[in-house]
Amino acid sequence: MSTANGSGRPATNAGSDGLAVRVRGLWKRFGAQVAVAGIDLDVPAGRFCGLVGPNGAGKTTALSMITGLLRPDAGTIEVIGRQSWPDPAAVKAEIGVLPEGLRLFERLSGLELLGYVGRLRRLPGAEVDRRAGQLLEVFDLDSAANKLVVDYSTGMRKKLGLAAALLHNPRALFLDEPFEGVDPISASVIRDVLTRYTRSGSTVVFSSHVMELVERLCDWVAVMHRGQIVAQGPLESVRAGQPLEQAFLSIVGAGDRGGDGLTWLGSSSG
Amino acid sequence: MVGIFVRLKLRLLANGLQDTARLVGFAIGTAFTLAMTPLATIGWLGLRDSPELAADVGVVVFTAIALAWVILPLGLFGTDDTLDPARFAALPLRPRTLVTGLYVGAFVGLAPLATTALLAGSVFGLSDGPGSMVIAVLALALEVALCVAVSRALASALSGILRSRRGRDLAVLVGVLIGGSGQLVMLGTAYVSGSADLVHSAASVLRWAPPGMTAWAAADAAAGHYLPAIAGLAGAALADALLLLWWGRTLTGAMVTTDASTARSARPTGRRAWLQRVHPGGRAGAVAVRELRYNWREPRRRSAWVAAVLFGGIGPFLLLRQDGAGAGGVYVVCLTAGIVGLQAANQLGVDGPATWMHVATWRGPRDIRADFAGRNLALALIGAPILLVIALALAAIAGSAGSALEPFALACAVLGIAFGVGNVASALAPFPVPESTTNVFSGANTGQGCLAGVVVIGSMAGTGLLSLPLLAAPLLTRLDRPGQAAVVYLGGIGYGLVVAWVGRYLAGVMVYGRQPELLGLLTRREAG
Repeated sequence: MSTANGSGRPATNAGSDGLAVRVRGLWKRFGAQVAVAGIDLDVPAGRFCGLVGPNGAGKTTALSMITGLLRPDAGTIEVIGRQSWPDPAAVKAEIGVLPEGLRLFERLSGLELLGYVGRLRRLPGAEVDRRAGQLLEVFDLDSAANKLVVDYSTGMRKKLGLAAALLHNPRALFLDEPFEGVDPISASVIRDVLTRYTRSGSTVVFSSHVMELVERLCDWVAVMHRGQIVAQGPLESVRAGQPLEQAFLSIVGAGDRGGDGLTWLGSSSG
Repeated sequence: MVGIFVRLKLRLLANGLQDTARLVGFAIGTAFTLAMTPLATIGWLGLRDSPELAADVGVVVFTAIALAWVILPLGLFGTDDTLDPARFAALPLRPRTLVTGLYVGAFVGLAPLATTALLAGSVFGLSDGPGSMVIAVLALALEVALCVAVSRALASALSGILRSRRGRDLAVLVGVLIGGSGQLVMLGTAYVSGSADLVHSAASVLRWAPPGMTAWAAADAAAGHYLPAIAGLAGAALADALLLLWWGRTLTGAMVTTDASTARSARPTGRRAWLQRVHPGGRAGAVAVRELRYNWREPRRRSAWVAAVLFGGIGPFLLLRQDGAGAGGVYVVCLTAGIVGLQAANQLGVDGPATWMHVATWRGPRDIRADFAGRNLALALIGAPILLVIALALAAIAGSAGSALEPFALACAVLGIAFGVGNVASALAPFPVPESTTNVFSGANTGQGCLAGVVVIGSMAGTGLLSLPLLAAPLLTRLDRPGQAAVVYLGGIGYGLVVAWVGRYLAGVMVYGRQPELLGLLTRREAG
């Protein structure tokens, strides 16, 4: 049990090939529906990686499998040089996760929740409480520290979930839609914390369908569409000189369906 | 407009049935209705020969059914979400149109159908001749109309309260208390007195309330008193109209306060600061503390304890009184232990989707064992004192306070066995228990009731089976060798601890092998 859990930085944040995440031939079906159709994904260590795609592209399913919370049908996943499957325990110890839906222990206060998660990760109690206090302060949740999570707003929940994911100082962070439903102030706090985190050599992978956000934050992009990765690489090479949104629309081949048929719409046409 | 609402309701029902779990729930409800209807009809027909008793029974049954419809929106069963007025808030509909549409739509469904079917026999039971039969049909129609109206109007009136978290928390508890105490009252009255007199005195009061009024009107008509019968029906119809009027008013309010759920309550800091600092070492300790907090704060778990104490605590007293058994009767507390131990039957399910926070930190079966140990410990810390109090009370009733200790020791052993069985059941068949959601109209997990029933019955059977060796304990101590009783009872507790440990061990292995699948099971409902 080597560890990123202690107070010092981990010795390495990548596998032997310099990749934080290495996915090959990953498949997942739900009944007749193919959610993830054989993707290959590489994320070099220390990158701020955005996984973009429309709703239903398979981002959440892919992230769940990579983080060891969903069993793949086929394929291999390596995170920080460790296999996620069949036994994801080693990977789970090294990463932080913010899954979709943010289902937290609602009847704990924010402070209690962080204290609980830290102890589940077998961190020393005093250290947990110290880190929890600091994280709550950084995320501007200290005034709500003793309020039950059930009474938190969406933005507060995201911040608390992120704090819980960071608590054990993971080597890589996987966040599902961390900015969805978050007000601009909270979003900027989250952005700052994540940027600081990657600057130290750790990796962030987050999913989003907001292109502007990904464009502003990320230096590495993977584009998902209908269960497949249709483009990936450094931001500049994926967008090829256009705004990311344009690049994305041309990559997935979305036609111009801006409502040609809706001739009646608008006040002038009567 | 009304047609649209009815078609919408039918479409939603049909779509809902594509989900297997809902289909099973629906099938069970239908089977129950089909099985009960002939019995109820036979009962009604049997009353034909004694019109006075028929009138009394009619009044009481009509009132009881209406009461059930009153309790329905309190979240005991969860009403259907298909007619949530908030969903129509954005449409330009006047309250009058909306109430009419929602009201008629509310008649489409299993519950109104079952109510009608169960009461249909009253048309014959409460009538004598074709003229009074017309009145009886009208009475039945009015009764069903009243039931639907009162349940809808109440749900809409309460929705303001129930949209706030504290209101919902309270409602869950109130529901359990009403359900539990209702059971006890029924049990108690059946136990205390003869039935006919009681029904008559209840009916003489209840006939003045609208549901009773309808049944009484039918009975009046059967006796040839048509004028009071028509007056009674008119009274009930007026009550129905008033309910609809009230509903229309609260509906307007409910539609514009849809988002009151964001109202938050700050918790005073420092009040529970001492509890913040209580953090025993280790994973099991952390889980135990969290579980203790949850059992207090989570309304469903708190209600589960209230129910366990109501049924497991008060039941034995009635049993003891009936039996007239002496000090041996104190051993009934072992049954209580079995009921209290049922709280362990779904230990993963009660955490629901939040379970991922555990899954994300599991490094091996050992961690899972530790989680179960923490959960068992928390349940024992709450359950054991309850058992002690009940054992002492039973012993006091039996007249020998000293006789509490040995039954209490055996009850602790049973509790341990129940935990062991519960640990395995939790790993085998977890079912999600939904966190009370933002809205009165969203029901519990339909169809999960069946699985829950199987798990509970299976756990009880397993606990009973594994408890059989404990029967030897009171017999062995009869041998009367000095110090032997202590050894026997400590041995019993030791046996309970071993069963609990084996259960934890098995659960650890089983859960570790299928973490994603379990997580999927516990998250499934919420994803939709």
